[in-house]
Amino acid sequence: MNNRLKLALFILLIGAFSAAIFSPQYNNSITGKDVFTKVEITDIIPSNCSFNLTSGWNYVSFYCISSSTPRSEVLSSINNSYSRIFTYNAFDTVDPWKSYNPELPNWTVQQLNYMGRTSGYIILMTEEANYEYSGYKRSSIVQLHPGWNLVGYPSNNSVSINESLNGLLYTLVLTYEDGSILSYSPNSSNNDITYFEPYKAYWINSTASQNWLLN
Amino acid sequence: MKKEKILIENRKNEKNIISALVKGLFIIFLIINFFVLMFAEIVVAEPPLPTEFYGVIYNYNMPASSGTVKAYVGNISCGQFNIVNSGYYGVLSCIADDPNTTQIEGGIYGQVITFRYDSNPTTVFGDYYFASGEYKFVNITFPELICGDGFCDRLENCNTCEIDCFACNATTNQTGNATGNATTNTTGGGGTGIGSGGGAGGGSSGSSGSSGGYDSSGGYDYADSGVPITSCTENWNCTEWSECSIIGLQNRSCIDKAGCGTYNSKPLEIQECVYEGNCFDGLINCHDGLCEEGVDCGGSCDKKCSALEQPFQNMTITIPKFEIPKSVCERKFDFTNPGFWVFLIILILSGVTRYYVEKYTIEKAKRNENLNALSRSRKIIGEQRKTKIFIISVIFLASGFLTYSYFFLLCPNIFFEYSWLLLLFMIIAPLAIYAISKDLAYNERIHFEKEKRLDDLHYQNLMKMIELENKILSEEENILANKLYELSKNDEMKDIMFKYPEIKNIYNIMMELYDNYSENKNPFDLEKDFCDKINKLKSDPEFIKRISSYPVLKDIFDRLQKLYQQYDEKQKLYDEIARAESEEKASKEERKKE
Repeated sequence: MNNRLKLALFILLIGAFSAAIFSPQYNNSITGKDVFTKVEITDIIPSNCSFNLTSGWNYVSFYCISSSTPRSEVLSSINNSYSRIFTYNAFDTVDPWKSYNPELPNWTVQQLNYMGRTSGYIILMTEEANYEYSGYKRSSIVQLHPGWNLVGYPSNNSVSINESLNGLLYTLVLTYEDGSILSYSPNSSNNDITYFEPYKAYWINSTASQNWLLN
Repeated sequence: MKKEKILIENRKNEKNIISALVKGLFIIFLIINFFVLMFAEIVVAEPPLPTEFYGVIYNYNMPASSGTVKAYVGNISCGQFNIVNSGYYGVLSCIADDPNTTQIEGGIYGQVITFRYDSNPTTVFGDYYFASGEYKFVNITFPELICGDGFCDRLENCNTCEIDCFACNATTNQTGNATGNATTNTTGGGGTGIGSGGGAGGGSSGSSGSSGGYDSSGGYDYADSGVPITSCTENWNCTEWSECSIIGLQNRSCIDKAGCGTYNSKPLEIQECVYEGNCFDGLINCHDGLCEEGVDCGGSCDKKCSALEQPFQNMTITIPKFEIPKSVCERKFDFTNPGFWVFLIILILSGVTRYYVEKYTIEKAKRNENLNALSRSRKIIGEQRKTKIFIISVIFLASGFLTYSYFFLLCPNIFFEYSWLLLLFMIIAPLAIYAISKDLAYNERIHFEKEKRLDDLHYQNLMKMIELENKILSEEENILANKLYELSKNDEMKDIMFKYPEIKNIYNIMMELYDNYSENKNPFDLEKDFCDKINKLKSDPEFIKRISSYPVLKDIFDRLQKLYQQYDEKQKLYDEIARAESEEKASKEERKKE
């Protein structure tokens, strides 16, 4: 590369840089800053949630409830069949675990009072029971915090994990079924699970703060 | 010399074996690592469930109405709870330690959990051990239950802690300095008492207890220092006893209306009582004429009992243990795992490759004409030995790796239980390979030494045969020379010799040969000259015709021809020796190269 060509390239780069820095900006707001308007259009379709819960520990989620439904309403169909339920809110770094035990005295303050469709739940069933709930299905955004997230799968269709989490940064997905921990790693060919299934809860080890969009 | 040579060779062989072993083990190590990484599953357990604590909390014998309860694993805080309902805390989630990190974030099964109330140490009663996913009923008492700290705790009495609760027989003088009401910060001058009661008439400012203010009767004298004069008569006024608490105690607050600042006649502020129970105390008890069947259910309570509820004994609630889901280890080989098949194919391919390499090398050695028989044989046997060592190493590698996978990779949680197998393999495998390769090399060396000994013996035999041949030849030459000499005296023969000077030359050569043989020399040139001359005469038909009429000369010539044949045979022996010597030289050079 001769010196003239180098000089031409250098001038071109300086020019491009200056244009980027000093070019006039056209703002649409009175504050002088860009204004972004996000319009989210979601379909809400009536849907009945129905699945079976086995005796013992179950990893569950409820896609047909809203983002904040009273616990007593969500679990009404399995009252007297469970003894405790846990969830993990990764965004509450001081006290991430929330639980509810129906057998505790009434003076205890239990934190799991509302349940959401994007959260995952670990429930201990005292007997086998069928879960029923009439609600709605809709698009959801699952917020992921760096580290472990216990999330629900808010959809009634099974989707490939790889496809569903495409573009997201994560190292591992875990769930629990029939006494075994099942895992999925994007870097491994030997995975126990490959699909997200409705009504199940999953641990996702996210490496960034990001949103998982489910249509 | 020979012994030294053998020793040097042995050392060289050992060095070669050791270096080959080191290389082999390094390759094995690399291959194991490769497959370990390939087979290794990412064994990551999910964050374990926390342990949930709840219970009753006392602050100086009174139900704690506010403050923060923190749970600790050692010095690490695993959870906290801000008191909402007076006298109770919980549910307090104490998080578990994340097994995926090296840091300690929380508890592990069976670990003792300690509690602090507003950062102060407490004494706890109940099941305060960590257990993931379980609920634990633990009662907390603040301050710590220490006999001698100057505070008569509700769980102490005159029998268990006389120093704090006074002697049992001095019932009228028992005092309890509960809730910090025992301070006498008298300042003198016209101060006011804390609380609603206003100041003491004599200018004292006796601070009140937690139960609020009171009226001071006043009129007492105080020294300049603020210490009340002993003539003051205490006038204690107490509130009603509280309801009996679930631990069988009730309390009240007593205030000295006279504000003496002494506690000589202070009545009891706490006493034992019979707790009757109710339908919301979290205990199984009897009240209202009926007994509960479970925790606050059945009997006189409306609530229906669940299967979980168990009798409440000794201040702890026993909640049935449930198996917490943990990372389950199933020790089995997954034959559908592509890694397994890749491993198997690589093993087979490496075996086949080694077989063809051996075949090719042997063929090449067979075709190589520069190699003598011994070197060729050495090369072939060496290749076969390498193949054997390779196969043994591969078997060790495969079995070791499979054992390793079976016990460790698939079940990391019992790594230590079976680590001795790996250690055993790491020790035995190299030793076994070394022993086998050493044995093979030793057998090979023995084989070659035997061959070499045979070669030496052959060489020595050849030399002996030549020596014998020379002896026989010299005798025969001597006889023939003598006969020729006798014949040369005859006149008739003189003509023939004159015409055929070769005969005379032959005679001279024979004499010279005789002398050489006597001195154990190998006169090749003379023998050759002799043979040339015999050949010349033999090819002359006139000479053959002429000597046929002289039987003595013919007989001499026939014997000379036989002598010529003997020389030819001897020459073959020499050729054989030369060949053996050249082979020895070549094999020495080859060993030098190796």
